[in-house]
Amino acid sequence: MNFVDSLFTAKGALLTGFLNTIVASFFSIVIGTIVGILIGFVITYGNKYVKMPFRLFVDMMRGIPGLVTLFAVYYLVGFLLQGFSIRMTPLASGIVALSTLASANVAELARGALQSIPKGQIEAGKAIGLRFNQIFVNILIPQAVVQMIPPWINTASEVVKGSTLLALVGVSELLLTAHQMVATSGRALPYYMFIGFIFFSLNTSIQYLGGFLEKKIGFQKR
Amino acid sequence: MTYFFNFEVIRNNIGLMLGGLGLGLCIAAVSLFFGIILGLFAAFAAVSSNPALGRLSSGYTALFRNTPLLVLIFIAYFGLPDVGVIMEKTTSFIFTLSLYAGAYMSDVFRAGLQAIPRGVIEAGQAIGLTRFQIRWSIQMPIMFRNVLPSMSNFLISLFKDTSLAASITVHELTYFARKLSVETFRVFEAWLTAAVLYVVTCYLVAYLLRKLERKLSFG
Repeated sequence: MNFVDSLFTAKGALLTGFLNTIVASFFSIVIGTIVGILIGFVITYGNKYVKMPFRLFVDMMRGIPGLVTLFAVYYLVGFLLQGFSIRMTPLASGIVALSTLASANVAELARGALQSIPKGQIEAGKAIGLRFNQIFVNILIPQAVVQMIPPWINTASEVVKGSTLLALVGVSELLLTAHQMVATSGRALPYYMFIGFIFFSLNTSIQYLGGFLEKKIGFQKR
Repeated sequence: MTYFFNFEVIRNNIGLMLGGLGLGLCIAAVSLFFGIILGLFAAFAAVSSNPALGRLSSGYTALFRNTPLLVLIFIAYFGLPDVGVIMEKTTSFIFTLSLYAGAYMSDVFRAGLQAIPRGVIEAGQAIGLTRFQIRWSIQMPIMFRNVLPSMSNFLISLFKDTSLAASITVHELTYFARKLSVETFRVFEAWLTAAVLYVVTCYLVAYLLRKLERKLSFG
C-alpha cells in the first residue's frame, strides 16, 4: 500500500490524534496561563513569606526537563490511585504536566512584565487618588498584557511542541498515531515527516497569529 | 494511605543515575559545539547580501524551531534508516540535537551580528582587511562577547532536552529514573532524585557559566 493511500485508510486515527494534540495543547495553554498569571501576581506583590513557596515552585519547574515532569506526574498519579477505583487517563496526566510547565513559564513572564512598569506610574496613580485595584486594572494590566503577548505566543508554541511528549506515556496524539502507522507499514520516514509537517504548519500559524495580535494591540505601546 | 520512603534502591543505583547525568551533560556540550559551528554558517548566510543564502538559512531555522524536537528525533532514529542512513542511538540523538541547536544558535548569532555597528566593519574595510579577516577577527569576537549569556542559557535548555533521549533508550538520567520507578515501584524516590539532580545541575551549570561570562567579558 503506498503512503498516501495508507493515510486515507487511517484518516480516523489521524483525526483522533490531531484532536488529542489540539485538546492537550489548548487546555494546557489555558490552564497554564490562568494559573501562571495568578502565581506571577503573588510573586510580584506578595510579601516575603507568601512569595517563597511560589518562587521555589517556579525555579524548580524551570530546572526540571518537561519529560521528567510528565513521567513523574504520570507514574505518581498511577501509583497513588492504585487502590482506588478512580482512573486518570494518560491525557489528563499529560495536561496536568504541561499546564504545570506552562504556568511556571507564564508566571515568569507576568512577573517580568509587571516589574518592568516604572514605579513612578504607580506613584502617579496614588497621587491622583486611585485605589490599588484601580491602578491595577487601569494602569498596570493594559501595559503588562501588551508586553506579555510576544513571549506568551512563544510559550504557547512550546506547549504545542511539548504535547508530542504525551506520546511517551501512551496518549494517542499525532506522534503516537504515526508511530503505530509505522509499526503496521514497516516504513517510517514518510509518516514522521508528515507529522513533522503538521506540527510545523501549526506552529507557523501560531507565530503568524502572534505577529498579527502584536500589531493589533501594539498601538497602545505609543 | 501511608507511604514509607525507602531510598535503598536509589542508593544502590545512584552510580548509574549520576553516569546518566554525566552522559546528558556530555551530549549537551557536544551538540552545542556542533550547533555553534552550524549556527555560525547559517548566521553569516542570513546576513549575507545573497538572497538565496538568506532564504536557505531562514528556512533551516524555521523548520527546526517549529517542529517538535521529539518528532525530529524520531525522524532521525526511525526514519532515516529507510533511506540507508543508520546511526547508533546516541550518535543519532547527538546528530538531531546538533541540527536543532544550530537552528537556535543561528538566530542568536544573527541578532548578535546585526547588533554590530556598520562603522566597525567599514573601518576594517578601510584598513584593507579581506572579507574573511573582517568576519574572523572583527565580527566574531564582538558577536561572541554579546551573545555569551544567550549561549549559556541555551546550553542549559539543551541539557534539559537531553532527557528526550530516553525516548530512544539512550541510557541517560531520565531513562534510569523511569526504569527504577517501573521496575522497583519506588516511584516517589526515583522521580524526586531525578528532579533534584536536574535542578541542582542546571543551577550549578548556570552559576559556573555566569562566572565564566564575567571573566570573558572583561578579558
